[in-house]
Amino acid sequence: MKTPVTPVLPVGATPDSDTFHIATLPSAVGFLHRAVQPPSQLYVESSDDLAVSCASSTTGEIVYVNYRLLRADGEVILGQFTVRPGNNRTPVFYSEGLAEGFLLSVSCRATVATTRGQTFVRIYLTDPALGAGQPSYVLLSDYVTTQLSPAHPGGRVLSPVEGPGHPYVVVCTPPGAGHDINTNVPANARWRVHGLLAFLTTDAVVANRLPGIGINTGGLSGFVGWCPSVIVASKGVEFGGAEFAPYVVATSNYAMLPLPPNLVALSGDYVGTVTAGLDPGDIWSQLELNVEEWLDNV
Amino acid sequence: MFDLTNEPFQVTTPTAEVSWDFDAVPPLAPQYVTVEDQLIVKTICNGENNPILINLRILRPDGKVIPLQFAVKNTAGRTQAVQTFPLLEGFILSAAAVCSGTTSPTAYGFIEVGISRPPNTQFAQYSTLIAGYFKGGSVLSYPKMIPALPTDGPGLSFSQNLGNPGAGTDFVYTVPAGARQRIVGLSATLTTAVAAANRLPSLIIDDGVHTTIILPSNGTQAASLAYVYTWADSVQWLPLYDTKITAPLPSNLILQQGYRMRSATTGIQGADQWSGIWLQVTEWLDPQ
Repeated sequence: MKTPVTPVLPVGATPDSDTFHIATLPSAVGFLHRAVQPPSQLYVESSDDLAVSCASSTTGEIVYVNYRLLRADGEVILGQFTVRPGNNRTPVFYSEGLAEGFLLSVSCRATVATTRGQTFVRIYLTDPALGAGQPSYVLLSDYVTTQLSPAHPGGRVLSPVEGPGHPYVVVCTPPGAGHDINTNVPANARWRVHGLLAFLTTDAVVANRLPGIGINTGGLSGFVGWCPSVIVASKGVEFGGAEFAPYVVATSNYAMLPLPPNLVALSGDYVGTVTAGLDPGDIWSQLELNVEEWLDNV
Repeated sequence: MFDLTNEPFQVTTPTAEVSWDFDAVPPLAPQYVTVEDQLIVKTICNGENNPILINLRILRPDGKVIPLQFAVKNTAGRTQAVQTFPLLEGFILSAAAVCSGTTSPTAYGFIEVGISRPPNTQFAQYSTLIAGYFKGGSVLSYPKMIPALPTDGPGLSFSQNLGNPGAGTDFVYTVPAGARQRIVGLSATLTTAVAAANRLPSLIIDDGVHTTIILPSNGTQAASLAYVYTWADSVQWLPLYDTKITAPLPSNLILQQGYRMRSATTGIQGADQWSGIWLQVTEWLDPQ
């Protein structure tokens, strides 16, 4: 026998009781709700710790980690803690002990990072018997942002150099008169150099200067893209460089330097100018690199 | 029309309706192994010896979760090393491979962790748990990570120097065994002797036997000069300026082991000298 249908209350209405009615189809399938098998493959013992390593290039980053544990007494326990990496791309570690049971889910969210390439998090189980910080089961490793929350289950275990990175502009420190610009790729970073812009002001000393842009890897010479024309005394020339872009001879106050596509520099490498015939009074300034950055070795 | 019914639904109850069976939980992993099985670990790395630790959690038949750790020693020089380790009976719950050594950005390797059963060899490996690149600080894991191939991923970028050939001789660079390289750029200086002649350098790419690509520098160099030649991915030909000549390489040029890049200098004289030979490459390990 059917019971009368009660209309669904409009949104915002105040129910007069905490007992209300929902309309459903009668189920044809019945489900076990007594002596149910734990809904997780992830059994943990009291000797297991939930550990997190986190590295970031952002300032003031705080990553919240949340988890749900089905304890052996049947209670579902919620856990939350935070990790606060510095902006130096160096991993920080945190771990806390778990009760025996089944880890149902883990997720995390950042408070500062807004895109991939900025804050990388790896969440794993560790057993102190394996050695301090030794992972025994990696639950997730991925970039985390203020909007996207990698999680277990369903999350991915990625290397920090997989996927898109963080595109931004590196404003290089002016090197002073008579010096080329050398910008060090930070520790634990990987750059793809998409393009650059720099300004060279030559002094009155009569000589030809031939600027180039280069990458110096591991203290060894790497690629150098040379300007297709020399720069004479008392000139101010802006130099650009971009992947695939044709060169432009410095006939006016602008020149385009060749830059190979997908030019990657690792931490410890230098990206900057290489100028044959640079005079002590010449000044490089306003070097800006358009890079895509990934965290590396974290 | 659906036949809708009403159900009374009580909210804000603190007592869970569901109860759990903790006494007869089926094994939590499909990877059952016995003492006849063994862990087989294959590694290949570039030049530097990175110790790797393999951490396992095995659910023993008596219900105990046993943490196990194996230390893997690598062989330098892009040569594949194979090591095996005994296992105990149970279910492999998880595994992780951790590079615990140097964090040098230019040290890396590829590892594959699987299971085989003696007397079969690695060719009878019946399961692969982990496969991927490792560097300092990296962690690879089972079961959450999809095994990768050595040609996957962004590779490792670095520069390398090629020693000077003898006077009057062109240089030859051979992609090392166990490697696959993308050539981003090559730069070299040719210093010509006093012998009067025009030298016309080109870069030739071959597989050791067959010439496949010839890349002229578009430059002519007379006696007693030192020119820097740069071949780089996708750049334009640049005419000679202040002793520098730039010429293109094919876009995304990938060379297998044994492939060569060599100069071919028409008109080279006995006392001419190639020097300062540098390559910018991106490398993948590629055991064959």
